[in-house]
Amino acid sequence: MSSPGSRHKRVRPERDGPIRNSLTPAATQAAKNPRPEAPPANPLSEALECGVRTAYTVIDEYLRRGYEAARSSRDHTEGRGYMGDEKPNYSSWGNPWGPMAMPMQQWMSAMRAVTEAWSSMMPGGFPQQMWNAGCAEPTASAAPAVSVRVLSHRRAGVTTKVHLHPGTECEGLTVGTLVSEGSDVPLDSVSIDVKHGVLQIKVVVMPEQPFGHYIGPIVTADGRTAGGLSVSLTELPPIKSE
Amino acid sequence: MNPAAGSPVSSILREYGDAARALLFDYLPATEPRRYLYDLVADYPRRGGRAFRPSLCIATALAFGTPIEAALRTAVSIELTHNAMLIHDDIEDGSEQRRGKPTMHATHGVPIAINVGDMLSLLSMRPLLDNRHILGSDLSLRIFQETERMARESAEGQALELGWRRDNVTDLAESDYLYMVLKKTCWLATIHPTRMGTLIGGLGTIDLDRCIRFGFFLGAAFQIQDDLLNLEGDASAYGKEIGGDIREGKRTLMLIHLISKANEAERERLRSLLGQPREARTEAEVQWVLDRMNAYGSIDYARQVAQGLAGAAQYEFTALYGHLPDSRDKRFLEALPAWVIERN
Repeated sequence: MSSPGSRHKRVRPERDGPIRNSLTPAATQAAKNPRPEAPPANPLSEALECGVRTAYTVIDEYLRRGYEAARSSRDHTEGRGYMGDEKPNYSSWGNPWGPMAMPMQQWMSAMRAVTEAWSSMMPGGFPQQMWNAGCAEPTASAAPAVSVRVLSHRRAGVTTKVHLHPGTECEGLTVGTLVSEGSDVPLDSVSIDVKHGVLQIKVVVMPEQPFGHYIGPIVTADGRTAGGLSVSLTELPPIKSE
Repeated sequence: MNPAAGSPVSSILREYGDAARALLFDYLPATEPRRYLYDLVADYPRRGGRAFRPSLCIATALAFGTPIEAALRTAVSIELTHNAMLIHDDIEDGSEQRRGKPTMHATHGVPIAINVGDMLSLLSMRPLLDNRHILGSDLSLRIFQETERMARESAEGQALELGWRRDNVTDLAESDYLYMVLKKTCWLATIHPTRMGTLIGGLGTIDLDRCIRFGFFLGAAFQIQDDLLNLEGDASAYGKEIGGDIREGKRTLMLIHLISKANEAERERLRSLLGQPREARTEAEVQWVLDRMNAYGSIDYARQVAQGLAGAAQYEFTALYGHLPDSRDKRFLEALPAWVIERN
């Protein structure tokens, strides 16, 4: 075995240009490295790698700015926030218009009323056939009463959200398997029943059910999707002992 | 032969494209003034096209188990908006051909073409209003707001590209190009359709920002492939003039790469050429730019970047939709990254 002193070392190649930084303006790089005759060993594979790296940098930066604008508008509801030149916070549905939230909400309510009135008067407008045939015309009374019962065999925070398309008849509804992108184990112990005109949803959480956000379709007796059900299982903070 | 022609992507594009187009024409008024407005409003949609955007919206919603009727009107609105933007883009770019025929402004003049584009934009609102009776008020209103965001992002991206050309900006990096493409192309072509499909399919319970990555990588690969086809595509299949992007001075990835690799004399010539008005650029100058792009490997470079972005889109697809049960629509979405870079 050779001693460290006698070990052969690869000679560092002399650089013919700066290390490529995907965010350095191309013209700046070019000014420093005007020799196209000396391409790197595998320029095409470098192009692929560099392109993807740059693209991830661009999208990460874009999203970061969006989140920062969202946070800023939450933190500074009075006047302009730190990133006052950013656009309104579209990422947070809860407060998409920052300090303008209240006026916007009122405007949106007014707009909704106007669009409802307008669309009913449009030539060729409403009433139109709905995709969930057999439903009644959408009216304020179309929303059924819903009760949700949760039986959880594991300690978890459980949040459910039910969405039924307007005018859906409750009789004969079933719920499909609820799946979560973060879990290979579907939530299949969910049932729907109608008693005394009330839509009763029963969710059973088994001990091994992973935490996650599960969604699945609510289906009519003839196989049409009538809405959806989401169940979020979240980890609860540990119980503090006395 | 187009290798992508026989893929499952093509059959779904045909199927959902036909469904969206059939409903789209119901939204085009058959009233006066026909000659100066409504006949022209139907012109671009009648020319066909791949219907990529509406199909993407529909397939995404269907991958969640939603029936097509729930997504159809949103898809129609997307296609109407796309056609409206095409008319205005053609004017702004000075384009001569669209889908194999002369552009709207080339045939009918700029003022009429602008008005036709405006009307298509307005007509795109109607299907969104009709959504209310299918999806309910809350979801429909949310789709409205999402549409407003898409329109803003697209206009901001278009502003970047137009500004670069007006001011003859040449010191652009790849990241500048990708940022512009994110806004100008990806929001309307891929991000918005997938967000709308996910919003409808997920009933408003899924964080839509997660669709931005998938849509961005898919859309950027799509745009680069489109720019490549503009240089070396088959004119009859492509439907636009070959080399048109060079003539228009569009800041494509190939052009940015060429500027970065060219020697000082070539760079100066490029700068001067790009600073001329479109009509002053000769066929010989366009050919010279194309030759330089070939000599410096700019076209191969862009093709590699497109492949890398398609790979990233594939990765993001798995993260975003991998958990959905297997279906024809899920397989369609999964096949899209490869399709966008294989089409010709």
